[in-house]
Amino acid sequence: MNMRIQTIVCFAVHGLAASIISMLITACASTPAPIYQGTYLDRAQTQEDGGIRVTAAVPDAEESKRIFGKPLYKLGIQPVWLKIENRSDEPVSFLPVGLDPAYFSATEAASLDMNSRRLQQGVSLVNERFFEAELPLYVSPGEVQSGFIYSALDEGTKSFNVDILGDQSIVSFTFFIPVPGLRVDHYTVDWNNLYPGQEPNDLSRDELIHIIEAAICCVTDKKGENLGDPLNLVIIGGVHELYNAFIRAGWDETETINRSSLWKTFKSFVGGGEYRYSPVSALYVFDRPQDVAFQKARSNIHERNHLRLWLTNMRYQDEPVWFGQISRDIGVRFTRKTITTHKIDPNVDETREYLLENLAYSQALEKFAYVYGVGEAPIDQPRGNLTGDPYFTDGYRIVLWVSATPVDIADVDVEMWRPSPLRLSIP
Amino acid sequence: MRSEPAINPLRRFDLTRQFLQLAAAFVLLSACATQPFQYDSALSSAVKGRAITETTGEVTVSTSVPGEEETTSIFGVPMYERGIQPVWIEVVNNSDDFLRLALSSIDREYFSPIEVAYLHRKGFSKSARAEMERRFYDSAMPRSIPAGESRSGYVFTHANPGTKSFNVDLYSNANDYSFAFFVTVPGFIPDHQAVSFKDLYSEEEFRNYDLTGFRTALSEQQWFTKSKSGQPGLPVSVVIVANGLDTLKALLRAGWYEQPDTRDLVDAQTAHYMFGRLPDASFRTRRDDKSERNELYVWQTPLRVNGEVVWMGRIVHFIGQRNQIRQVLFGARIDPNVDEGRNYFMQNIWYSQSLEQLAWLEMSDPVPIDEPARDFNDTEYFTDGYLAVAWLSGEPVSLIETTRVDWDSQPHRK
Repeated sequence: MNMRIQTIVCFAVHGLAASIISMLITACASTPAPIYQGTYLDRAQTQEDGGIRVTAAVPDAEESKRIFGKPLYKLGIQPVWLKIENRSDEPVSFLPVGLDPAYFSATEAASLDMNSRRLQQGVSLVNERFFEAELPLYVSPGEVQSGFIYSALDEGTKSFNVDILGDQSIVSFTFFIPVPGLRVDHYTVDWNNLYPGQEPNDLSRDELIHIIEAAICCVTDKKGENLGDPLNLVIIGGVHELYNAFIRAGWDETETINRSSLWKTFKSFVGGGEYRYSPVSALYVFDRPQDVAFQKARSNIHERNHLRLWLTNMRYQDEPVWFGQISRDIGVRFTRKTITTHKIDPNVDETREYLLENLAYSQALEKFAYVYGVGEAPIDQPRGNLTGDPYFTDGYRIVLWVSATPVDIADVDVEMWRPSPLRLSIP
Repeated sequence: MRSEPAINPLRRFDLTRQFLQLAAAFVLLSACATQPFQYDSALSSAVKGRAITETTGEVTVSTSVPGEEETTSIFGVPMYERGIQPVWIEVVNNSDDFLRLALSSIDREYFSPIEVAYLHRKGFSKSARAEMERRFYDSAMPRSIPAGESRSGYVFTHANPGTKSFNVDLYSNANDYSFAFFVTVPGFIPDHQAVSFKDLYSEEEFRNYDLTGFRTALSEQQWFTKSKSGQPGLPVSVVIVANGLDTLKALLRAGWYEQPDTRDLVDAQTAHYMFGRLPDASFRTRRDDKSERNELYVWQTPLRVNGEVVWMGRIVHFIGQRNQIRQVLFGARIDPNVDEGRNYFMQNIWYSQSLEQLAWLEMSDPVPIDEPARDFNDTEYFTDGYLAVAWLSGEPVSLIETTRVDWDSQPHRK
């Protein structure tokens, strides 16, 4: 029952007999509803460490609405269900800030986007349903606690930490839980059949350097006739490592082009909102569009970083090798060919170094190296991409070994494949 | 049953916003883009002149932050209005090793120099735009500092009100260097600067306790705010122990921003008082989407524990609207769960490595959720009745080094 109907019911009771009044008033109070057990629990994941067992599940938009009677996803709230079993002999606490530094309180989640009536002090904001469904933070030895944390919405794959604090210890778990609702690009890629009939090509260090330095400088258009943005990234790691690393570093997945995603893109373009999973245009390498795209929105759809990746048939020390391109969109501009396009920061090396720091500070990077291959384009002799945007570069590609598990920034290694361009391009 | 209004106020606001955006776009398109790019590089030396400097081994870092007016003069564009704040950095590398500066250590999502120029391009002529782009690019702090040399320049960060708090991390083959800075920004006077702390209490009023005496002193009374006329307000749920500078550093590191002095504008009838006065300092945290989350009001008390200053803290968690514009248009309410603000604060300072020691005190009977109480403003609240005591540290404390005082066990729901 929504608040408006509750209020109307509350008005109606004034005219009724005393016995009925008391019954209806009881009904007016927000009684906790039975928690709907949807299929989200079928998607639950469990991890165990140091006597602590944590099970986590994330209801999708529809399930959240059925559980709480409110369209929480539309309000930007995503409930995360946790069960914490304390099998140790000391009490432990769960810290919601570790899961989401800006988590919502139960009352806040229950009363977002209040109407003017509820803003008046007289209307109670106490909501027992959300409060009762909230996960208690303290778990005694031998006890099990379960409930929801109200986090900020992340569509696609939900990635979060669960930090459990004991008397003298912290146990930390990292979860990556796919949530239905988005049509994400990588769900449709058949990773095992990108190179049908070809065995992966295991390379030595020198062979790998030779091949990636001799590879095409840039992405192309569909016909392969014109050169676009520089291919300035080489990533080493499997699909799992890649996703965990980029999602931990705050990158969002990308939706495929379909009616719903186009509409969301249009709304965001006109209204200046933030559609974090907006489809990205196709650029080509190996005669095919990117296999995966990630993006990192800043304040609106015009300002975000874009990253496109293509899986190669090469392996280095058993790990797959990817080619990639990254650009920082700094605004939108009009073009004759495509009507509008993103304007990229012409200093593409700055964006490349941003990515290195971004992965390292997110503990998602094992090591890095530099190789040649893009070809130098000085600031006063810039090259152009497919939409005519100029860019300049020192001509290096960065090689990034990504990690699925956290790596302390102090432990990130540097492979001296080629001298660092930072040592050369000193003004 | 009454139907929904044809256009609800929130929807109407969306339509208005879209109309304003279209109107603004029209005005901007029709404006003549002929403005030349003008700036005042001389002012830059004033900014550098007041830099603060720290040295570790053979590496010295100096930094300074231009205020809003200075920034507009130095760069020729009103950057603060777009939420961008330049930070000037100089690194002197007297070591034998090449140093790499991590710009992300200053702001994880810093703006690139050409991005800042592009964001301000409107109204400028084509040649002025090119000049502006080049000036921003040339004035940027480089990432490389060769052995025996120095480099300086600006990093474009997200603006925040008040003292600017950031790290500067540098890496060489052999060593990592990390510097923490707290830099005063001209043009902003935080509310706590208007308070003469040494005159708040006379020597006779101070009470210094050891830890046991402190617990007793805290337990002897319930800590509530009051209205100006002395009616009971809301429970105070946090006690802070640290001197003023350490408290400030700890709060800044945890993402609490200082606030300007608005004591003259406060409505005396609805304001919360302690010790007969308005708060000595106030701070805010906010979400990334700019919706305000929490406000912290701090009063210095006459209590001391082992010589350290004791503060009472009231945390207000605003709820009701999902962004700041809606809060301004439609107002916001205070979360009736007053413990929520306290619990958030304790986690927040612990994760920010600002919490040296903590203790819990069971102060009073709980006010349960199904029987909420009301303060003098008729604001409803419920609470478990616990007080959190936080010893704050100006220097970072690793998460597992935080110690606990064995008073009461932390509050927990059955």
